[in-house]
Amino acid sequence: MIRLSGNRDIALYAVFTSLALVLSYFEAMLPPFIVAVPGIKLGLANIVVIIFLYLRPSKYALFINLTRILIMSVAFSGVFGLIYSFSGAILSFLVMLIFKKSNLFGIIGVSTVGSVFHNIGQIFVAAVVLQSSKLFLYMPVLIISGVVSGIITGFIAGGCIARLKVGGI
Amino acid sequence: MLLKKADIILIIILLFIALAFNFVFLNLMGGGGEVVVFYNLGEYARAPLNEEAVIEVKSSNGTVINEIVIEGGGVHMSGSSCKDKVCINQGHISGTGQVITCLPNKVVVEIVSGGKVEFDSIVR
Repeated sequence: MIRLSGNRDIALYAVFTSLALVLSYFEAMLPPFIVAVPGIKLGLANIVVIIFLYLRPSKYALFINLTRILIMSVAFSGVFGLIYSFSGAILSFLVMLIFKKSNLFGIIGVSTVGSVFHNIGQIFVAAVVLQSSKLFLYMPVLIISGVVSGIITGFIAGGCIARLKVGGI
Repeated sequence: MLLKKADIILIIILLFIALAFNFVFLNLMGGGGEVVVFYNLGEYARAPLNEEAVIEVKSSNGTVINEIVIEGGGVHMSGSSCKDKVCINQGHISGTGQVITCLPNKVVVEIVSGGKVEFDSIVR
């Protein structure tokens, strides 16, 4: 189980969970980038996940992301999408963990596979739930959008991590 | 370390996978479109877009008034008994929703998507 080590840690996780929430809420308010292609999003909340992946024991990164998804879906987007988001988040976390542990890849590489596999996880569950293999037609679009958003979020997360390390978090 | 050499290779590989998926899926699942021929406001014939075929539209007294050729993933009107030949000059169409019309003969050729596309707002 998640065991927090002190008041400072509790406050830290709370602050970063709220940050992740604010980022997803902000993203939900943005107009869609390409109206004709639903499902493309920046995944700004992934910035927080990556920061925790690098600065704290990695399970907290997953914990924060799942808390974010739970609160987001209860408060805004509806519980129906929960199963998609959860499976995307868990798959994305596992793949990011493997890539990070391999020590071969930089933050941008880890963030990119994270974004791509978030999309792939959602597609797989959607294909099972909707009983439609046609959804896989959508895969190339989601891989490319995942790569683009992964590079952007990885770049931002890298900058944050460097500064937070200086700050002693 | 923000960006390593392996990251760039990874990104290139992912983009290649996306392109490969695109290619495979378009070949496997694409081409599901159908050609629908309407004559005198009713549906006259229906044929898949990805198989070459010739459809002849016959009027009520049995004479062939229009000849429609399906080839290369598209369709065009190759012959018509009408005077102005506007339908033949409309050329080759291949996109879903495109239409060739022969007004004097009351013949309309339309491309419709065969399978139902099931994307909706759930994918977010």
